[in-house]
Amino acid sequence: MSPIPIDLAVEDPLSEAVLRKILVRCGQPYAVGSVFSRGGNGYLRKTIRGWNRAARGKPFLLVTDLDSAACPGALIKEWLSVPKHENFLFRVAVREIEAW
Amino acid sequence: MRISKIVLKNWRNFRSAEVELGERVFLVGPNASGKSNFLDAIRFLRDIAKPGGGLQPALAFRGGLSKVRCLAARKDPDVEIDVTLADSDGGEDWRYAIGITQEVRGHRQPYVRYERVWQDGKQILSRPDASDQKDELRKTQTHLEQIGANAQFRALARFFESIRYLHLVPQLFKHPDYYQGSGAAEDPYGRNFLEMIAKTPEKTRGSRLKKIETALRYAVPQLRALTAAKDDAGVPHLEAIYEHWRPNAGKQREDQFSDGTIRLIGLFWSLLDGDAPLLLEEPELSLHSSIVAKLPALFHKLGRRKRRQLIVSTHSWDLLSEKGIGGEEVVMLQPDANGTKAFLASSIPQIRAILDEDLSIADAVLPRTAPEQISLFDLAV
Repeated sequence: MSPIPIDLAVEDPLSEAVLRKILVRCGQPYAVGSVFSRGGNGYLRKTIRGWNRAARGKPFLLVTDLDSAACPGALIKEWLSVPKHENFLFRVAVREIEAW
Repeated sequence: MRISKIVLKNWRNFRSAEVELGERVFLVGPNASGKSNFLDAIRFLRDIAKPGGGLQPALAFRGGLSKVRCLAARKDPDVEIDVTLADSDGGEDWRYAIGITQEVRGHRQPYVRYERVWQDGKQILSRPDASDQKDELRKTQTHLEQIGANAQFRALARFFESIRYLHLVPQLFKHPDYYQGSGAAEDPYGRNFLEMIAKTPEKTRGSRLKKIETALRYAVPQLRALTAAKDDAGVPHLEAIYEHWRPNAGKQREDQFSDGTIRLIGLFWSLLDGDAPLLLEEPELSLHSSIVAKLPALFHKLGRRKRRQLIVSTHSWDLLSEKGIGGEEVVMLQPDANGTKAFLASSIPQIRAILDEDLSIADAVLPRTAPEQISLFDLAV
């Protein structure tokens, strides 16, 4: 099977490491390209529309921690005001990636 | 006039690269990807064309042809540089192409495999010609470097000669005596920077220093009255008044200026100096992030006013965060086993998409230039 290229946006190096492992184990031949991160979720939130748009050309996975927010669904709605592209995988770690 | 396109073959990191260049160009890429070597290809043309220059000295300065030739190249190929120059003010367009190789035995002297010049699309020089075939030694020199031979394309030679490069090293500037060097008239690192300022006609020098001082006031508010002066031995210096709590502030000389102040002075001076293309190496060094963030706007302003081309290498997030920088202004360098690839950021659809959502080049491009295994870097020691 040919590799599936994918880019990531994460909060920190720990999330990146966890995601890389998950992608290896999930049974699909994902090939991670660029990893976008500036530490913390503020940056992800600010830039999310760009990643959503970038997903048109290449699958994109963004993972953030739920932290103290109420529920993942609400967080996704709050962060992304435009329709989510089908190749944009927006995942929320409940409550944080350390718990995975 | 500006360089609108450059093609490199077997030049240092670049086995084969071709990019279009605008008026403002930012070069980005990981360490050792070839940012400086990209600039050096342009400096090489200058070194051929400048007074006292020439092909042989330009190569000797770089350690010979084998040092210049791409490591990824296959078996002694020609080193080739091909530049197209555009004049947006309606002047002539030029193209200059040179291929260099060296003797396979004996002195292994480098010589011109070919040299071609086009003026407004029409080829006006094609070497080797009949005289070159008769006298092989002629091929060790370019026509570009010879006043007797470049009459038809003097404007092109003048253009190459006028290109400026700056990479001011504050320590060299402050303490030139500590460092051995060729003492060459040409010195982009700052050893002779003060002399260069001193040699500038007084009126021009005064007006430039005034402008620099005005700009510096926003960056280094304590500094004022920037002037050029000579000490008793006739050695040129820069002086400024550095204000502090005492009512009579003391004068300081360049060896007391901070690294950031010196780099800013050098940067402004070179920006104000002439209207030929300026090559800048990592202008963000030693500067506060808030100043770095302002540099693209400054480049734009000065570039526009004088229609001056600026080619800038950078790693700086702050500099590339400026939203005004377009994908077509950014040349990305990506190393791989076959040498470095060079391409415009705007040629990548994903980057275009991200920029369309009002994100900056820093967001869209810089993470892509990070080395793959960088997460392990801090675990190495």
